[in-house]
Amino acid sequence: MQLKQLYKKIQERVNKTAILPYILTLPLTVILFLLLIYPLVYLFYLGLGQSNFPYVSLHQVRVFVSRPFFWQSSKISLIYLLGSMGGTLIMGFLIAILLNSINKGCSIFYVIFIAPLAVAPIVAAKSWSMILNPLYGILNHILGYVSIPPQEWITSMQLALFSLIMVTIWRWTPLAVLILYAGLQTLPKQPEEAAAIDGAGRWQILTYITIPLLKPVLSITILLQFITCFKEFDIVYGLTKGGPAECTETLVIRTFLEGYRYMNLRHAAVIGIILLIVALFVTNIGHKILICQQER
Amino acid sequence: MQRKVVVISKYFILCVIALFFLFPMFWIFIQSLKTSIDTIAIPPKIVFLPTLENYSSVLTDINLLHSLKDGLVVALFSVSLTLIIGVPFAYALARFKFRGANQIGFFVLSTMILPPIVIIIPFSKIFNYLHLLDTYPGLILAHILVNIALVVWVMRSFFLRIPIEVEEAAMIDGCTKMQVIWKIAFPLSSSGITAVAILSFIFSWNELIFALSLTASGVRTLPVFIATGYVGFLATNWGGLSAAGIVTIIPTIILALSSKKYLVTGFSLGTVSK
Repeated sequence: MQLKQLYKKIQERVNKTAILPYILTLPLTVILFLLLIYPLVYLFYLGLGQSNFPYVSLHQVRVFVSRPFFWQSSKISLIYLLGSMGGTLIMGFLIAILLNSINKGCSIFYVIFIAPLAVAPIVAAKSWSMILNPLYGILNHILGYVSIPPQEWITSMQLALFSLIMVTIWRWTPLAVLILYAGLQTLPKQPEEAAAIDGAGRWQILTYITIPLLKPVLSITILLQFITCFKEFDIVYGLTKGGPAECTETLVIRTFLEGYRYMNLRHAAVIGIILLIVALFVTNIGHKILICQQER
Repeated sequence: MQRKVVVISKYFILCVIALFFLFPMFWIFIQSLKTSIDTIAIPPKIVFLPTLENYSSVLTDINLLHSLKDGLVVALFSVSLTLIIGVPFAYALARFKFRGANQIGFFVLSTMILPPIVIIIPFSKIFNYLHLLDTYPGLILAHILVNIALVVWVMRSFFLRIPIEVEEAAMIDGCTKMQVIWKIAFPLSSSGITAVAILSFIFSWNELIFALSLTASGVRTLPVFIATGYVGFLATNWGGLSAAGIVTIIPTIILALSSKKYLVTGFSLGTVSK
C-alpha cells in the first residue's frame, strides 16, 4: 500500500517537473561516459602521460611524429581515403542517377546494389583475396582472355593499394547509393520538367538542376563516406594486413599493429590521439557546412 | 530510336556494375562447393564436380559452432542493451527541449566518427584490469559503441514523424507522460525499432575489430574465426573458409531481405531527413 503511494508520489513528481527528459537520457549518458569519455582520457594518459607532462611527453610526440614511418602511413592513409571516397561517390552517384531514370527492374537492381552492406566485410575481403590471388585467382584468368598479362594484385607494391581501394569501393558504394537514391526520389519533379520544356539537354538538366538541388544530400554523403573510409579496418586487415612491405599500412592498421603485434601500447595511443583529432576536426567542419546549408 | 539506344545502354551499364557487386558473393559460394584441391587449381576451375564436403565438415566443426553461439549471444545482448538505453534517449531528444540536448546529441553522434581502434587501445588496458577481456560482458559492452549512434539518430527521426497531436490527445484523455511514451510513442514507432534492431544485429554480427582485439579463445565471433581460423601454417583452407563465410552471411542476407522495406526507410530517415 505504502509502496503504491510512494510510486504515485514519484510519478506525480516526474510529471510535474521537467525531470523526465533527464531520466530518459541518464542511462545512456552514464554508459557513454564509462565507455567513451573515461577511455579517451585514459588514452591521452597512455600516450602523453606517465612521464613529466607536458614537457617530456610533447617532446616524445615530436620525435615520434618525425619518424619516417609515420609520414609514410599518413601518405598511404590520405591516398587510400581520397581514392575510396572519390570512387564510392562517383560510382554511387552514377548508380543512383541510372536507377532513378529507369522504369522497370528498379527494385531488383536496388537490392543487388545494397547487398554488400549486409555481407560481413571480412568474408568479402577473403573472397576478394581469392579472386585477386596472382596464382589461382579468377581475375587474372579472366583478364587472360583479353590478353592482359597476369598482375600481382595484392602482393606487389604498385598495385596493392589500388586493389584495396577497389575493394573498398565495392564495400562502401552501396551506402552512397542508398542515401543518394533516397535523396533523388524526394526531389521535386517540376524543375527538371520545366527545364526540359525550355529545351535543356540531359547533361544540362543534370548539372544545372539536379546536382544543385541534391547538394544537401550530397554533402551528407561525402561526410559519411569520409567517416566510413577513414575508419576502415576489416578490408585492409582481411586483404593485406598492411603488407607487402608496409605499403598499404594506413594509420588505422598501423595503430592496430603497434598495439597488438609490436606490443607498443604507447605508440598506438599516440597515433590514436592523432586519428581522434583528425576525425573530430574534419567532422566538425563538415557539421558546420551542413548547418550553413540548412540555414540557407 | 535514339531513346531506345539510351535505355538499352542504361540497362547495360547497370548490369555490368551489378556483376561487379555480385561477383565476390557468387565466387565465394562457388569456392565453397569445391574440394580443397579444386579451390587452388591453376587455372581456376569454373566447371567442376560440386561437393557438400566443406559444409558438412564446417557444420560439424565444434569451433565454428561455438563461434555461431558466441556471435549470437553477443549480438542479441548488445542489441537489446543498446535499444534499452538508446530508444528512450532518442525520444527525449525528439520531444523535449532540455539544457544540453544538442551537445549530448552531437556527443552520441561522435561515437560514429571515432575510429574503433582509437577506443580499443585504452579498452584493452581497462578491460584487462576489470577482467573483462575475452568474456561475453566485455564484448557486449564494447558493441554498444558500434550501434548506439545509429539507434539514437534513426529512432529520433522516427519519433519526430509521429504527429504531436496524437500524444497531446492522449495527455488530454488523462495519460501520464510515461504512459504516452509506453502506449503511444513506442507502439507507433515499432517499425522503426524493428529496423534499427535488425540493422544493429547485422552490424554486431559482422563486427571484426572489437572482437579481434578484445577476445581470444574464450569468446570468438564468426568474423574473428574466419579471419584467423582457416589460415594454416603453410596454406589456407579456402574451401572451409568459403563455407564458413557463406554460413556467416546467410543469416544477415535473410534478415536484410525479409525486412528490406523497414531497412530502407530506417536508413534513409536517419540520414536524409535530419
